[in-house]
Parts: sequence; C-alpha cells; structure tokens
Amino acid sequence: MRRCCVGVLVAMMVVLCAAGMPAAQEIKGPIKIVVPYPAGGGSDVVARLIADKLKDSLGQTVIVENKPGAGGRIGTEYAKGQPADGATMLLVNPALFVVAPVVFSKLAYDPDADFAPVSLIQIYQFCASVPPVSPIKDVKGLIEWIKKNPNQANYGSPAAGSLPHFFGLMIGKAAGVEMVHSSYNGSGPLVTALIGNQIPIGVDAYDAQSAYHPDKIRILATAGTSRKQPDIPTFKEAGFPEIEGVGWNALVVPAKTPKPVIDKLSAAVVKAVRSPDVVEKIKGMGSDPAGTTPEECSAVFKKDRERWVPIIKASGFKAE
Amino acid sequence: MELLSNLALGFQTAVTPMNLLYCLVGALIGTLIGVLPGIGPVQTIAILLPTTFALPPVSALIMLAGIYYGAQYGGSTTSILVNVPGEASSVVTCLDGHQMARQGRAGAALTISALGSFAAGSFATLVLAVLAVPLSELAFQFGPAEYFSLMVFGLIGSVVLASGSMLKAVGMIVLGLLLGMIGTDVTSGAHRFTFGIPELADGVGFVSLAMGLFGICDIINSLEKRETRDILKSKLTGLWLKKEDLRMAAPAVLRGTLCGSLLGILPGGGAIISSFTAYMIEKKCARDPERFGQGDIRGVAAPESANNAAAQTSFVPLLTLGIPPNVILAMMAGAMMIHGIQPGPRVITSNPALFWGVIVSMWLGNVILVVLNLPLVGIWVRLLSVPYRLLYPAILVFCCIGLYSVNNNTFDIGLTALCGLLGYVFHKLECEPAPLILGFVLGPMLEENLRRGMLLSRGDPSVFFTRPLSLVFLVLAAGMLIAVALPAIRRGRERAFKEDYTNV
Repeated sequence: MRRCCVGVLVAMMVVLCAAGMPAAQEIKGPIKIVVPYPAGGGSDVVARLIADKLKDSLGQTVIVENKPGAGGRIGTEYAKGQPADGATMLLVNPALFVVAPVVFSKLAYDPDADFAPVSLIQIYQFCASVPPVSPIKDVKGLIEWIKKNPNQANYGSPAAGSLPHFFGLMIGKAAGVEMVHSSYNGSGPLVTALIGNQIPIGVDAYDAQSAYHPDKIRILATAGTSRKQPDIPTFKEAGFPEIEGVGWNALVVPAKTPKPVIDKLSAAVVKAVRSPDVVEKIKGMGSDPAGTTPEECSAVFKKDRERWVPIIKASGFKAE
Repeated sequence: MELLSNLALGFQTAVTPMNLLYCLVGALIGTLIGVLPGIGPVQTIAILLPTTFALPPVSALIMLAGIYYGAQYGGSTTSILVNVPGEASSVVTCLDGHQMARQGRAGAALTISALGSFAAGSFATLVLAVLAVPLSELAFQFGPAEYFSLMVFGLIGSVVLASGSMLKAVGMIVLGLLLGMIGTDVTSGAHRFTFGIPELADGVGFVSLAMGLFGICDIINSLEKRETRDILKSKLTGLWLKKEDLRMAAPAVLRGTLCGSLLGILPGGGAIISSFTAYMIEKKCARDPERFGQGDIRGVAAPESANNAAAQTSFVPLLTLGIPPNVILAMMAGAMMIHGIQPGPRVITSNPALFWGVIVSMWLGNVILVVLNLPLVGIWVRLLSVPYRLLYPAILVFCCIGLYSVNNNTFDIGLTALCGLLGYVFHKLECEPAPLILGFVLGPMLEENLRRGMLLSRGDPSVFFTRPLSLVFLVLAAGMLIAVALPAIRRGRERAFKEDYTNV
C-alpha cells in the first residue's frame, strides 16, 4: 500500500516536471551534482552555489551529493555508474582527471572514456610563499636561496600527488636542485607550518593563502598568466616563463549522456557561473569564475594533460 | 576595559530575539544528534549548511556553533546509558559512565556530565574571549618534532587507561597503532594494507571502530547472557548528585576543563585527545586508581568537561587565523566563505560584531544546554527500563543510519560489524578496547610527524632532542615510563614465581 502511494507520488512528480519542460532535451529530475569530497570544502561550496542557481534556470530540484573518500576517486567511480540521462553531474579537478590516470596503475575510471565535459566552472592559481621571517623576498631570491642551501631546500604542499606537489618540483628544476617535498594534510596545516616558520617554502592554491599575505605569510609569486594582486608578480614576470599553470573545477557527466542534454546543462551552468552574485562569491574566495562550452572544457583538459603528464612521469611519483 | 566593550558588543549582537532563537535551535539539534549514535555534527552541519544561506552570517554561525557544542553535551548520553559512544569524543565516557548506569546511578552520571560540560563551556568561553589571540600563537610553536614528542608522551601515558593487565594494554596500543597505518601514506601517497579496497584508502573510519568495539560488541555480550540482559542490574538511585559525588567530581571537572581548553587549540582531533588525556590525568592523580573503570564519577566528570572545553577552544584557530583545526570547523569556514567572510586573521578587525557575537552566544548556548539537559536526565534514565529485546534492535538501527550517513556508503556498516566481532574476541581475551582506540587516533599523527621531522632534517634524528619543547615532552614521557615500570618491577620481584601482570 505504502509503496504504491510512493509510486503514484513519484509518477505525479515526473509528469509535473515533464509538463513544464520542452520535450526534446528533457531531464528527468531531480538533478544531482556529485561532489567527491566532504561537505563544506572549497569545491563543495562552489557546487552548492551553482546548484542553487541551476534550480531556477532548469526548473528542477538540484541537490549536491557528497561522496567523499580516497581523494575523490570513490565519488568519481560512483558517478561513472549513474544513468547517463543528464540527471547526474560530477565535480572534477586536475587531481582526478590529470594526475590520477598517471599515478594509479589500477584506476577504476577513464576520464575520457567514462565522462563527457560540461563546463569549466572555476579557475584557481597556484603560488609559492615563505614565512614572514624568511630572508627570501622575491622569486629571484628564492631561486638563489635554493641554490645556496640545497640541504635545507624543503617545501610543503597540501597533499602528495597534488598539482602543488609537482609545481614545487618545477621550481626546484628551475634552480637545478632536487627539493625535498613534505606533504601536509591539507591547506590548513600547511598555512600553520608556514606562519610558524616550520617549513621554508610552501606551494599551494593562491586562495588558500591570500588571506595571510603579507603579514603572516609572504607570497612571492603566482603562477597564472596575469597578476592576482597588484603587489604579487607572476613567475613569468619574474623571469621564469616555464613555471605556469592553473587548477580548476569542472562539471562532467557520464559519457553516454546525449549531446543535446549536455549542451543544455552547459548553457545553464555558464549562466549560473556568470550571474553577478556567484561571480562575486567565487572571487571572494580568491579564485576566478569560468563558465565554458563543453568543447572549450575538453580543450583545457587536453592542454593540461600535455603540460603536467611529462612532469609527473619525470618525478617518478607512483601512488600504488 | 577593551574586553568589556568587546563583550558588550558581543551581547548586543547575540541577545537579539532572532539570534537567541537560532542559538536555541542549534543547541537543541546538537543535543539530538549527539544522542543519536553515528550521526555526528559533521553530517548535520553539512545537511543544514544550505538552509543557512538565507540567514545573516552571525545567525548562521551561531546556529552551526550551537550544533557543534550541543553534540558534545548529547554525545555522552548514549555512552552512559547503552555503552554506544554518540560522538567520537565520548568514547572514554563509556568506561565509567556505563558502569555507573549498570549500578543504577545513570542519573548521577548524566547530571555530572551536563554540569561538568556547563562549567567547562563557561570557562572555555572566557578563555576564548581573553586569550584567543595569544593562545593562537601556541599552535605555531608546534613543529613536527613537538607533535611527535607530544604523541609519544600521550601513548606512554595511555597505558594507565587499562584497568587490567599492562602487557595486554601495551599490546592493544600497538594494535591500534597498526590499525592506524591502514590507508594512504601521507608522505608518498602509497596505499598500505588496503587490499585494493578503495574505501580503505582513507583508513578505517574512527566511528566504525569505536562503535564496533564498544556498542556492537556490548550488544553481542548482552545477548550472550540470558539472565543479565537488561542493562539495569540494581535499582535506580536518586537522579541528583550526592554531596560525596560533588566533592569528588568538582576537582575532576576543573582539571578536565584546563586540559581540554589547552588541547582544543592544537589542530587534529583536540576534543578526542583531550577527553582521553583528562581521563588519564584523573587516574594518575587519584589515590585509588583501581576504582576507575568500575563506575567512578571522576571518570565521567573529567573527560566530559574536557571535550566540551576543547570543542569551544578549537574555535580559537578558526576565528583568529582562519585555520580550521578539525573537519567540523572546516565546514564552519566553508559557511563563512559562503557568506562572503574570508576566515582569516582579519575577521576580528573587519567583523568584530561577528567575532564577539559568536563568542558570547557560546556562553548563552551553554546556559541553554544545561537548562535543556537537566530535565531530560529523568527521561533518559527511564529509557533503561525498556526491555532489552526492544532496546537493542533500536540501537542497531540508529547505529546503521548514523554509519551510513558518514560517507553515504554501506561499506562503513560492514566494517563496523567486523569491528564488533573483533571487539567480542577482545572481550573474550580480556583485552580492553580503550588503549587501542587511543593508539589508533594518535598513531597516524605520530607517524606523519616522525617522518616529516626526519624528512625535513634530512635524516638527522637530533631535531627531536634539540628543540626545547620537544625535549620537555620526551623527558616527561621517560619520567612516566619509569613511574609506570618501577612498581611493576618491584612487584615482579616479590612475585617472581607467579605469572601475574600487575595492575597499573
């Protein structure tokens, strides 16, 4: 009896939803955005901001489902198995789509074969920083210090196998020194270690450290193509054009999702990301809103793989 | 005088009808989820986060903070009544709290845990108001060497957690350390002992382990004994505390509060570690340590005060520096970001009303909680008279719901069942689970900091002895080792022919 009632209710809801939508690219709601990380983290916050906007433009309930675990790989594998009807989107980043395929010999998903891009939603920069008491004042000073003190040239990143980890290797390469890497359990502990002068150099996402500059942490340079803050140069400006690269969050869907549905989702996501209050909130977090077509998103995936895969391979880093 | 004007600003912010209401709502929800085993503040705050988007930032933070410390109040209830820790930080409360309940003194245990929490919460709020800024500097003095030495100190101290054989206690600590090794290696990213199961890449879940070893195992044990199945062995005695209880508990509350206030500031599970530490200190201070584990009120008062104080002072690094010391506060940081407040050193100056409003609301929340909880004691105690055949399926169902909600994954439920069986084996072997839990909590931090220290010094172990703070902890640890070992050696000689391991 009860099950029957639920069935009727669901059927009614489906009918109601369908009635309000053009028939061609209908998505049977509710739509869920799978975030493969715990609730409350940076990427979760962005997903929730966008879910809130998509609700209005798609006329559907949009929920954020957190499936944390194994650095995001559990949630990614889970999303891969969901129906490819546009009702499931997954939030991904370079760790899952660029690094993981190289460092895991047995990865349960293939970024290209199992998923199709929808839109890039957010771009964040990396930065190199030092404790406020450090004698290092700028990028030139950093490289010189590393050359002079190869035995103390340690750097910290928020996680082993994260892009900042490999970014630090690039800096060491520029100085011709193999720096020792120490991973901290996330950005918080790394910030604490930098403020307390427990580690000489830190490499992390810019938005994780910008609030502490310049009193508690000295950010030497950011790694994007343009400055994030007037007083902090880019590595390129400081004379190291090869030290460049950004991180991102993107939305993808299971690979077999029909193209018209993807385009519809992409348009809605772009509209959500570019709405003024979302732009302001994403900028307030220290990163930049994106909003791209599926094709542009795909091109970014490809370009970043070309940039990072040789560096990751050269580092010899293997997770399993 | 600046403090007074700051507090006045805080009261202005917190004592509006709306903010008082959100404080009450938060405290109420927190108590409820604290009582439900497994469903912790992490999941609750995650679920409620979107509903706070529409609120002003101060109200949102007041409510979320209320959930967090409310859960510390509620978490002890199931620990005491049915030996299922409602929250991770209430694990150690099971030891004496549940024994008290079995002796018919559940009312006294619940009352002291509410009163102790209130005293601790009030004190910690004051600490937060007066010392937030200087205390936040403390965390920076802790490099890898200091953390490592602190962990060594804690592990050696944890031997006193055991009320039986010392050898078995050491064995359980080591086993806990080994269980803590499961998962992704922080330094190299390699998977260890995961057997290709992706869920194990993050290690064994603390909630699964604690719930299995205590709650599930207790149910198996109770079902085994036909005649003593009902929790209540003796008649209920008065709900209120006796004078004797108060005299014993008051100093324990004080020590627990101090211990929790200090440890809460350190990143990484401050509330859990502080409750264990407070228990250890109590047992070491007591003239009659053998009473611990048999239903000693000090064994409830100290850890419950400590975890509440720690929950409150863990706001220090978040509010002063924007560094969340644990997952729950990381979520608070997320909530602040959604409201356009970048958590960081600038919050105090850019949003003084928010900073002081939240602090004052914590004290108000504690008043609300104690008023809320004391009348509930009578109701909770009556729960014990429910026949066990009805009670235990209900406990199991709530455990499963809670476990599933941790990661939205059924794997955790299976893991807990396995831990329950393991707990049953330990019970049969008379091995106590508390030292194992502590080893499990401290192990990963011990290893991470040992390796980071060695890595950064390029393999030179002298860092652990040349840094003053680190040296102090190591000397204390060595002292404790001698203090623990001496009586054992002496007694060992006296009973040279008896194969009997001494009590600590």
